Amino acid sequence: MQPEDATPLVPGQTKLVKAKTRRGKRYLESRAPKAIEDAKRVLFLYGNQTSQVIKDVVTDLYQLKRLEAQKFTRKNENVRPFEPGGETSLEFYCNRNNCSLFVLGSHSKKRPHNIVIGRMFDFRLYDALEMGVEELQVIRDFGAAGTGAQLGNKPCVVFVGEKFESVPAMALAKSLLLDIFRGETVDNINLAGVDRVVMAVAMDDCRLQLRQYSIRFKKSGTRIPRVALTEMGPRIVFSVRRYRLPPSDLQQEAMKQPKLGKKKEKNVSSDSLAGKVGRIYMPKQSMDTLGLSKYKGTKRERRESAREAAEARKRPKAAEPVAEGASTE
Amino acid sequence: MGGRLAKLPPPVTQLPRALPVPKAKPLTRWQQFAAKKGIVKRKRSKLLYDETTGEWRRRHGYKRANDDNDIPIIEAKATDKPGEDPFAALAAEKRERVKTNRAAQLANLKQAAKKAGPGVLPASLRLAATLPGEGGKVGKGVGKSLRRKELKDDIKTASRLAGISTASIGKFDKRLTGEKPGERAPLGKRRNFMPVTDTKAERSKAGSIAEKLLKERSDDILDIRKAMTRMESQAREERHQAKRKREEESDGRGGAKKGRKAGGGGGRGGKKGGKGSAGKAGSKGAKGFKGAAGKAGKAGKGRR
Repeated sequence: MQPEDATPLVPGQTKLVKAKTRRGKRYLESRAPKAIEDAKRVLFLYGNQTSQVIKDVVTDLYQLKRLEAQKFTRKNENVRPFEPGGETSLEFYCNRNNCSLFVLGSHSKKRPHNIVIGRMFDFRLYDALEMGVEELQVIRDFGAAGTGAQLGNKPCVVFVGEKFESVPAMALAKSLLLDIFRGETVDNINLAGVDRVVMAVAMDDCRLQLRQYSIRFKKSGTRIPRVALTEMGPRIVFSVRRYRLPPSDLQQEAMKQPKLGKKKEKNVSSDSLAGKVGRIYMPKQSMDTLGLSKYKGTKRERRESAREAAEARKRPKAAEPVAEGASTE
Repeated sequence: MGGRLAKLPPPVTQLPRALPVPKAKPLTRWQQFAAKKGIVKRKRSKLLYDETTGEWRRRHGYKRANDDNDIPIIEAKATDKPGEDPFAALAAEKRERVKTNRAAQLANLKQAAKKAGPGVLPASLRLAATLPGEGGKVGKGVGKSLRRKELKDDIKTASRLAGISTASIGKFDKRLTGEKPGERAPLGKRRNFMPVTDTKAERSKAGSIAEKLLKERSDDILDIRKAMTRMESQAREERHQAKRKREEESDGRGGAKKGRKAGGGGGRGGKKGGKGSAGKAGSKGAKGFKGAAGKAGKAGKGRR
């Protein structure tokens, strides 16, 4: 909570202002700065005018990020990230919705099918990239190819083309797309959950193609499965228009990495006699339902069931000498 | 849940953060004291044996063990006054403790905010005192006192403006009760004019200007009379010494050696001083006035 908060204190408030409920306190703590951050939330909104193309693009991208995103349905006039005073509304919305990324779609005669992807640092505008949509194929056009992919899974992101390193606009596009598709920071990943690939191809100096594939593992002779990629997601060709790089002081602040201490290993201690020692905590066990190991043949139930089966066989036949012979076994 | 876990390497591409790196909180007063003394936090058991009820109860919270506030009967002591209520006294003590505890917490937070800025406060708090006050100060003169001061200043300015909004800029209007004489005067250095009939003030002002000038240039200014008297006294001394020398030479060096020696030494010392300063004054001429006057002044002081 910085003093330059958008929500000013009520005049006359001089005492400690704290959360009134424990739930409120937890919520505020979840929004506090952390050493390792949560996934960045994206705010999807529309500008002054929209076209069907833009609406499709924004809805598709929103579907890809549904849990970590917020979508505004109405049009917003005074959201202009490339104008000096036009970012205040945007910053306010992002602050209120706890979003650090935004995707703004608009359409005008001068800039047809316009999309602005931008980032916030400390809920102030950090950088932004404006692109125009040239070609679009929505998720629905690819049929049911994307049904295997689950929401919330981290995709593999691939950038093809050396323009992503050399051209500054493309480098910014790479950084922004990575931020959007990254999701949360994790140490380990379950390989079964890797089910999407997002590919961005730099076609030339200012054109960028975005594709998404879903991964299916097929049987192969070895332990390592054969990977089959089917195109599932939106196929969009962007043309890069304007961009806005971050101010240097904000950039310095934002790129600072926290000093992470080593994670303390719990339940491990070392003894001079026993070496490395840990404790295993067993749950309470009731002796009645305790499953002890027994030999199969000696199980009483097995013997009794075998005897009963034999008697059952004996009765319908009703042949005494044969039955007696059988029963003695 | 199928699938194997793959351990990911640390990230290579640096992406900007969403929020600034959290700042380390400064230690509270108790934590500093504990660190200094080496006091370590002990973990306490959740349950405690309550002697009065004879059962295990929780240490803190609802129906806690050994609760001081829940005693049904308090025995009267010899020191108790007849009208006092011991239960009310206990409640009052608790309220006092809670008040001091909260004040101490607030003081800790203010200290932390002062030291490391508003970012160290816990997210669930928003201290009104951390709003930047006058000159960006944190916690000082902010809040209620600042608001009061601002209001007072506003009222003063408004009343002043109202007072000088007359044809004669408030000069000849009656002074209100409680208004001090200078409050309706026009502001500004050049707007204050001296009274015409008061010669004392004018003379003292002119005199102060003159004194200031003299003080600044005091090194160059030479007091001729002082310098003359000094030179004359030095010349007189020299003549005296020369006369005594001639006398001793003519008399002979027998008995008065010791005395003469002392006298001579003293005389020589005196002569040296005299010669040195006189020589300097003579040789340097006009330029040397500064040094000579300074030296003469210093020597004179020593002599005195």
